[in-house]
Amino acid sequence: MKALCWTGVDSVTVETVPDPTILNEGDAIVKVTASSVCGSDLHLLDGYLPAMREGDILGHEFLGEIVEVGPKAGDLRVGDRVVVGSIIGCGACWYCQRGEWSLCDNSNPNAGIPERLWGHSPAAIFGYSHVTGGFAGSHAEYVRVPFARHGAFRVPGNLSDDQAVFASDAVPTGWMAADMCNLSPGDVVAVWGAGGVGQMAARAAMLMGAGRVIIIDRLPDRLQIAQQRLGVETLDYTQTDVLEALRELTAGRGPDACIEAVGMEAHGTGPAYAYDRVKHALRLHSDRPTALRQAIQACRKGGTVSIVGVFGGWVDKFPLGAAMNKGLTLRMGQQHAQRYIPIVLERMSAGDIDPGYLATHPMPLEDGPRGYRLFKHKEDGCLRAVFHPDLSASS
Amino acid sequence: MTTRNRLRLAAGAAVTAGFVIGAKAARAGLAAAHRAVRGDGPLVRGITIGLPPSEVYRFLRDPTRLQTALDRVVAIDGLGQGRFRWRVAGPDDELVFITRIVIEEPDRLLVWRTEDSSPPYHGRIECRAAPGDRGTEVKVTLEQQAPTSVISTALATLTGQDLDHLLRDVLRRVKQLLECGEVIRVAGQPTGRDRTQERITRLVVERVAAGGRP
Repeated sequence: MKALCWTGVDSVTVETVPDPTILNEGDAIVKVTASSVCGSDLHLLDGYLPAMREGDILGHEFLGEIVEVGPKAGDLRVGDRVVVGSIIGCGACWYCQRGEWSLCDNSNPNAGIPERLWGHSPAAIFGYSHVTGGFAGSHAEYVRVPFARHGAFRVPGNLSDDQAVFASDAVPTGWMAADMCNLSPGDVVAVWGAGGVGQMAARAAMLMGAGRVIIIDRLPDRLQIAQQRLGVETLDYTQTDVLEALRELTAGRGPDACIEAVGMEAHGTGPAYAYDRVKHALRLHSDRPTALRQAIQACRKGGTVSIVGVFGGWVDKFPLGAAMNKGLTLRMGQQHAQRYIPIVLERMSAGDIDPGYLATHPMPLEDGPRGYRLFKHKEDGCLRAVFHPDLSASS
Repeated sequence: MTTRNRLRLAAGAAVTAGFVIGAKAARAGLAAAHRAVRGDGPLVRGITIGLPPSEVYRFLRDPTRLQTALDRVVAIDGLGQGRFRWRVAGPDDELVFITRIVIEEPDRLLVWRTEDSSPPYHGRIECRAAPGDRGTEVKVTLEQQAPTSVISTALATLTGQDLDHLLRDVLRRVKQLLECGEVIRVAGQPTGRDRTQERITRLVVERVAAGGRP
């Protein structure tokens, strides 16, 4: 089959690789119909999560049709149209049983690596380096889905592929980001990052009763889309003093909840950002917490900072003093896909959430390298490139 | 720098060399590192498994089921009266030894010792209810009376991993088998690597992932 492989820092190529097979009894094989790029892939592409190996298949946000099932794949059947969560959960351990699927004890065969890095091993993730299991990703014609009876969800018929694919990751991650804020009606929510996850977090916050939602980014086209599609307020941090603006928009209080949907390669302005870039480029620290610092600084006393942007290692100049003295609640984590996907599919089917507009660049899998280039450099208004292996390269 | 810190540094260097070279010589380095760092103290490792102590104990006491968690063990043959013959596979050789259960308290405690290795090598498994609804805490203690036992040295030489790493990997597999009914695999899935690149990748990942929690 064809698959999009990581072949080095800033390099992906389409390769011919063997088809996947059933390796465990709970597996299913899915014929991929749509597989989206994700902002967190850029950390892999750029070499900031070091446990990638040449030849690893990328991709973790996908949709497809089941073509083969193992004997323990539950009630999944060949022919089912399913969306699969990016997180792999066993469904049996203490964490999965509590709905904390991204903390699964059993899904990562390389648990020793994250145990050394982070003390414990969280769940495995498709196509997301050997730290999170080394599972082959979804930018391919076929993908093996372990613990499929827990991770694959049938898609309501009224959702298109370019809508439903985002029920795999962007929508449930955004939903979890807002859920972690424990919002009260009328709350003011600020969201850093107007990418797919940030926009879906903003929408989720509105559905959970937020009175005002403000999205912060530097890309005018993304801010404009967020304004038009979601009806949120926007701030361009290259034009505005974000801290001052948020303070004044809330009559001095600051937002009740701040959602960080940016992660380790945040952009920013001023000397602090220049400092981060230099240290990051020299690998003197692993993550740039530029947006996170601002979120902590902006949040009202006693408010919540909810982090769904991906971090992998250590951050520098973390404003612990602000967080501690303002009594903030910090919530964070990879999405609990299996908990949130049924909720968001229902909301999407009812028309409450329509993420289809995120798929600005649908394209054949063969165009994968171009898709990542457009997405990485935010060219041509690219919010998300979505690969469709069944589209021919010439179409 | 204290002697112990020097030994730890030496051990770290040996382990790093092992990652890079991956040859038998490096395996000997790992075994030496193991001896240097761990000395002759007992090795104690635990894991929490989400099932009652009786079920966990039953699994550990049953050689047929236990063998499924020990991927380098070719066979555990029951010889009667709590005696078992173990055959452990390595790349070029096989290690055989006999264990005898000396204390058995169902659902709680299992103590065994080797019969034919010198110096003797013994261990214990304790199971007890974990707090709340977390299942069972399993604690394994391996007593090594010499700088390192014959068996642990042989295992380290055979497998390229020290006994501590092997034990932690085994405990993880026991947990997966009991909780999920199978051990999740990634070997054999598609990649863009050729056979040699894949072999190197598996070697690197296995070495880096070995053991886990310090």
